Amino acid sequence: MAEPTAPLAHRATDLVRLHAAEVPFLSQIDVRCGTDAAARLGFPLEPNTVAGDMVRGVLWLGPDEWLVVGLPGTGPGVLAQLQAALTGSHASVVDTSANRAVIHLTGSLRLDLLATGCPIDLDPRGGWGPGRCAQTLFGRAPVLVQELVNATRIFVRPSFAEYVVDRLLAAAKVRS
Amino acid sequence: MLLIRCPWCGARDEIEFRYGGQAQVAYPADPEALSDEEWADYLFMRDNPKGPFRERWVHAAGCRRWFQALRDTSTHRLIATYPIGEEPISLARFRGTERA
Amino acid sequence: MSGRRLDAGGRIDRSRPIRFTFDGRGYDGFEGDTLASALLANGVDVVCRSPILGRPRGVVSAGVEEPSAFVEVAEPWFEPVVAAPMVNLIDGLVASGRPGVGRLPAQTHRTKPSVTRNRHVETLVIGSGGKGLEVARTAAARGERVLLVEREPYLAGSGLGRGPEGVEVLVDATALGVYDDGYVVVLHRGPEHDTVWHIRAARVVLATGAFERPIAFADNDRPGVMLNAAVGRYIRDFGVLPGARIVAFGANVTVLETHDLRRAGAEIVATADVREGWAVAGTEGETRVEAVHLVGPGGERRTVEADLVAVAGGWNPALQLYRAIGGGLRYDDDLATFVPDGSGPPWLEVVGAAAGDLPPSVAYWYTPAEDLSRHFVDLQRDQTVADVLAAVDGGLRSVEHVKRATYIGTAIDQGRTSGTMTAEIVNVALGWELGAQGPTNARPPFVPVSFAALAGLDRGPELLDPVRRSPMHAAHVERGAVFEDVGQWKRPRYFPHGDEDMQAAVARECLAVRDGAGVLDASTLGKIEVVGPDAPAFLDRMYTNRMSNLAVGSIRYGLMLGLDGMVFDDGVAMRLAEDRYLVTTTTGGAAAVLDRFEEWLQTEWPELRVYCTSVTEQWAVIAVGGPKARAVLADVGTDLDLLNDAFPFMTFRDGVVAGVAARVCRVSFTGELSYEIHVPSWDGPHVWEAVFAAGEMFGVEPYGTEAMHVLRAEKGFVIVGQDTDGTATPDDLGMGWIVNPSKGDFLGKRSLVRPDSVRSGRKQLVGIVPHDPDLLLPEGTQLIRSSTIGAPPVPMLGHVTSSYRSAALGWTFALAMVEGGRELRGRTIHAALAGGTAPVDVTDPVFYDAEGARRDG
Repeated sequence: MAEPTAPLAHRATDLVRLHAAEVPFLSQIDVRCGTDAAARLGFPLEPNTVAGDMVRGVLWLGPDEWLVVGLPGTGPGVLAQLQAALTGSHASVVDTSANRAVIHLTGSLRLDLLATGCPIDLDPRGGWGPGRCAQTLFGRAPVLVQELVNATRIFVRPSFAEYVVDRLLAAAKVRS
Repeated sequence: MLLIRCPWCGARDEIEFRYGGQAQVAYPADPEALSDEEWADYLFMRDNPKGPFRERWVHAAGCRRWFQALRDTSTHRLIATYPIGEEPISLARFRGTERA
Repeated sequence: MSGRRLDAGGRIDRSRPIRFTFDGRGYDGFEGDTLASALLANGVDVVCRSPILGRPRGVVSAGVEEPSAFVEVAEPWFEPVVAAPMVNLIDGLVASGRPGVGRLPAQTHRTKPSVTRNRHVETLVIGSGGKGLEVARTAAARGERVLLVEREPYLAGSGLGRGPEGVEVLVDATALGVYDDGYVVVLHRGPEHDTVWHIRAARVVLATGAFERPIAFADNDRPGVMLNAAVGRYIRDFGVLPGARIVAFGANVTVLETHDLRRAGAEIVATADVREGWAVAGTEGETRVEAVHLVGPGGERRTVEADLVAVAGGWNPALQLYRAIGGGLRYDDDLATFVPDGSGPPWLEVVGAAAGDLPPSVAYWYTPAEDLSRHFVDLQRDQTVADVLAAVDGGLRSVEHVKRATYIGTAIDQGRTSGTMTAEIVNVALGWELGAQGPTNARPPFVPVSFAALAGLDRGPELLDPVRRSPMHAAHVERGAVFEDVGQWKRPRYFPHGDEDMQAAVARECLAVRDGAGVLDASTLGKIEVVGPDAPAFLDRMYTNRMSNLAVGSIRYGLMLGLDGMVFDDGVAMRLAEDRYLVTTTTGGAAAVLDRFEEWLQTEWPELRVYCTSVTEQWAVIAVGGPKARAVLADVGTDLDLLNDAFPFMTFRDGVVAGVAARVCRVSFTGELSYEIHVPSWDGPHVWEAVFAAGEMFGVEPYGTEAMHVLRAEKGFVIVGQDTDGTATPDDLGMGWIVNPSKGDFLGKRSLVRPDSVRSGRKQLVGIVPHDPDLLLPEGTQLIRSSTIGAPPVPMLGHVTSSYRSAALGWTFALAMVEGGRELRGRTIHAALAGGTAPVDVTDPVFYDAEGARRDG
């Protein structure tokens, strides 16, 4: 009955051409709190880094903001857990699971493709690598980029998701 | 395109930032106590010096933090960036010492 | 004779012939040729005619400094005007001579694909001479990321296509500009596409070399007059001999290697060394040099038969990129030219010939003569020594003024061969020292580049600007929606049935909402969660009315002002919990409102314990409105009690709708009973379809932004940004009721009592009803007092901000901002239209259901 629709479900074929896939319905909890509370929760304090792994990762978004990413369906549980853990601290915990689409990009050229639109240094020799994340732009779309082992995730507002796919396809076409 | 050092995210391209005008123009504690002239002065008047200038920027496409910058308006060079509320650099030290 | 191909030699690949077309004729060349070398090899002397005088012009140089031979490339990619030495020969090339002025083709043309790429390196070296290679090698040995760009197809210092170990090399790559903080834009021309590299380098090293300078003499623009080093390059690199009987002329004739010439079957028939007092006075010939006049130290003259003059006037460091980023110059007596003075940004270095590492030369700019009117300085602008001297005679002193009087240096080559020459002619004419003033500045781009190349991927309807789509976009497409752009969003404007036009579709959609039920996709509204113990106090400071006393579960409309007291944005606030609100913004204001919240929290009130989180795209918003909205929602299936008493206007309830968790809000932008259903955006498509499935028997219709605009305007509701333009106070809009001056300070409050905000005669929001019920006033129409338009300036009363046909009313109406408008209610004023005026009545802006009886169904 009530089947959710992933923002890029209809672009699955195009994503395959990019060696990419959508990771739909991930739980994404936006947490804002002070550094002390964040340290207690084991959140990464170093800017633009990630704690955890693909299953449950905490991405640094700002000096008082993190994104707790988990498997689909875990959102409400994680939300309650975090709210409980932050009781007594000034904090905000908001479910933003549907606020961003997630594109999982693989292939050896993925960072080259991203470099057609991202102004940040995505070169491993410049320090980019697994465990790093960054909020930046891809073309004219705001994105959150997370580097995994041999893969890169792009978090993007659903309304911009098709633009990002279209621009990646255009880049791949010119590069090939 | 400037390279701007966000106090948190480090050096990023200018396109990730938005300019916020002169820094440290405090919102009056009691606007209603101000005369029309004083209010208009707060509202409309800003400094426009040649040389070091304290200004505000926000890392709009990044961590969305506002911060302060000391920029030389005659060379376009960003001398320093630092979080709101911090003042690690004396403006007087720079005034008049930059190459025109 | 003319130029010809030698039997051997050069970097060209003689096993790979290339066929090309120039000026409508077919020619042969080789892989590795430029268009210039191939034309010389084919004996084509005249490449184009000069733009003003129509004089024949041929190839002067072998590079980017070319001031003479310009072409238009038609195939395979259109380029309006480009120097012939800069065109790499490829199969199927079609080109024709153009004077140094481009033109757009009559038909649309194929543009070369292009992509931008961002790169970060520690050291960027521009230019691949020996010094550039050395710097690159050293930096790479330190473990740095090193990028070397070279505008030619191979490295100047090694003749190879690859650089030292650890150095990444881009050939056919021209630096267009060097900008702040080591930002360098490089155009990398490939056979299939261009790449525009945006490089950020911690250190930029300019190893850009030097340009050989010409000397002016009579008819020095005649094909067959070339720069000395270029002659050598055509022989060595392209196996092309540009001429067989050569006059070598200059202050610095060391480059032509005579054994090369002898082997090539050419000879130097005369040498005019200015250090010995000899000079070339002029040339003769039909379409190219056939004879050369020489003048000696005692004024003696001789004429030799020759087909080529190789001019070696010395060298000017190539400092265009250096100067554009603020580097300064000093005059060097030994080189008789300008070199870097050591200034410039700290991350920038200049090395090698560009830094002045050059053979010495004397200052000799033109051969003296009585008539200097054919001594060409800037070939592309057809300007001569006489023109420069005339400008000085006219009173000009600065080369900047001379440049603007003569246009010297303003053509495509930006004065690479003419700039220093002009400055020195001016200096000498004024009796000033050599080097008293230097050449005018060149600006990026260093070489012509098309906008299409710079745009890279960011062109075309999909990628010029992001197209943002709502979660229900596919459903709208399926229902045949006609979309409009609202900022970056595509929003359904209307949903035509069959071949209905917009007017008919909008009338039908409006009546559906007024009489039955309509459904609007309102997902694009901005949404922000505002959380924290000080959230109530914070919102009281942001909105004109009080939000702190809003009950949990309730909704309140709010207006935000700029500090200047003018309306900035509007929306509603829902109180989710004591310390938690969700506020909505206009579609266009979403980012600006969040930015403003953050700005005030971070910079002015860090003591307030408030966090903001954007949830704009977390929620799809489906607005069901109309007398039958309650019945439709009940049929969709919900656990909420929809009766008025249980779920009154301006409240919200959390529950289940169509099987998914939802928040339903009783707000109305149409005046009708309305339920706004908020569900996670991925559930939007499902709920949207569920509403239609349930609503079928109620005749539910989707409606678009156009009907929404009509319906809200019938109720007199303003749209911030349509009816306001940043100069309207709440009172101007008749919304003084929403300003609560007793609650303490809020943004813009002080400005509401500024003299200008309270003066009489401000423009106020009114309704406008044309006497002709069928007259639809164009939005923006000026309103005037009288029925005749007098002599200018015509006093304007105001202007129409919104204008529609109302299906419910049966006539047209408008909203307008009119000076002292509320006083004018009941009066007739006039709309100034093309071809005359039309009488209109000024009314109250609420046209429909003024008593608000319909909002509860």
